[in-house]
Amino acid sequence: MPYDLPLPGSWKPWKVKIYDNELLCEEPHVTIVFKTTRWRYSLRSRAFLDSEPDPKDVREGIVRAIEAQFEKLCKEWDARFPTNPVTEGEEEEEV
Amino acid sequence: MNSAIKSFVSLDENQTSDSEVLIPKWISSQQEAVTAATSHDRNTVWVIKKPQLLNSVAHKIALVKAFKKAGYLILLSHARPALIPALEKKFARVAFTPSILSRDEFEEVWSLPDRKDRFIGGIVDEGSKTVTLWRGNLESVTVPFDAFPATANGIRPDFRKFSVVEYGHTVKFGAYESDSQPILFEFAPDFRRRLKQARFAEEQSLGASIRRLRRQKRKTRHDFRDIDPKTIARIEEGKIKKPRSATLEVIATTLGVKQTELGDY
Repeated sequence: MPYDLPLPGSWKPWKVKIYDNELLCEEPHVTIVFKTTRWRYSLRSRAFLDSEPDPKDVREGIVRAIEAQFEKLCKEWDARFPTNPVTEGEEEEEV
Repeated sequence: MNSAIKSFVSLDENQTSDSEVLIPKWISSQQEAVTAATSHDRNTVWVIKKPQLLNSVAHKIALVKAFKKAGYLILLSHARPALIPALEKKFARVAFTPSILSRDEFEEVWSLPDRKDRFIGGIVDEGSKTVTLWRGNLESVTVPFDAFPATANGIRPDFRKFSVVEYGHTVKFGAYESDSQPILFEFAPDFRRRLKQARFAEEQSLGASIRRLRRQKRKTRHDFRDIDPKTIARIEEGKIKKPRSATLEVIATTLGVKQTELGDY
């Protein structure tokens, strides 16, 4: 089951999700979903991964909601994908 | 910030451009089946729900030798092998997919320029343990069940409960949801090339490619039999520029690709 960040009901159909199968060659991230459009927000750099679609088109308050639950989102990501954890550099320390 | 993924269009005579809007038309009568069989409109996606109407389409194609290409054809059911050759002569692409997006999402996805990076439907085959997914350009991608691994916290796909949702960006198996991108990254070379160019332009080395593939496959550097994790790290970081062939073979085998493909990711 993906992790769906709880958002105010009036924001529907906006969603912020961590899927059960993600693009792991990328930085850990959440996906912001609105109808046909999606944005990816990095849990490492705390910035949008792509310049298109334009991050300015993301509903006001979504990034604040992500930042407010940042620790929880990182935990959810790490619980699913420990081979690509949010904390950078862990892998290098193994060596 | 990195630039976004750009679309590359490679056209042959059978394909429509990504920028062209395709119009879905639902065939629900004999007359509409005949219209589809004799149409020359390349921008139509013909959708048939009732398998028996496919008989009328195939019969008409054979009767009038209507082989000038006409759009795409989707049957919302399983394939009947005897009909496929005739249908493939008439339609640029043919898909058999019992499960598709919801009607609203299905109607809208054909107008989206990135539709080929979305899945409009698919079919699960328990016998071969594969899932065939249809992209928005009606190219198919067949992937093994293994492409949908359980998460580390135990969330597993239920392949009996398959659907595509969120305008084709999400593949669902019961409660388990997969983003479309990891599937395309592993099984659609055109998507992988675009992603690599857009996102990883500064990391095109063999080592960087191995690192990305290893992460996508959820492996650690300790998972390579008889290879010291430090060696894997040195290869990934480019400190070993030309690894031995035997080493590359172990890496390729562990990551489930051919040795010659290791640089493609």
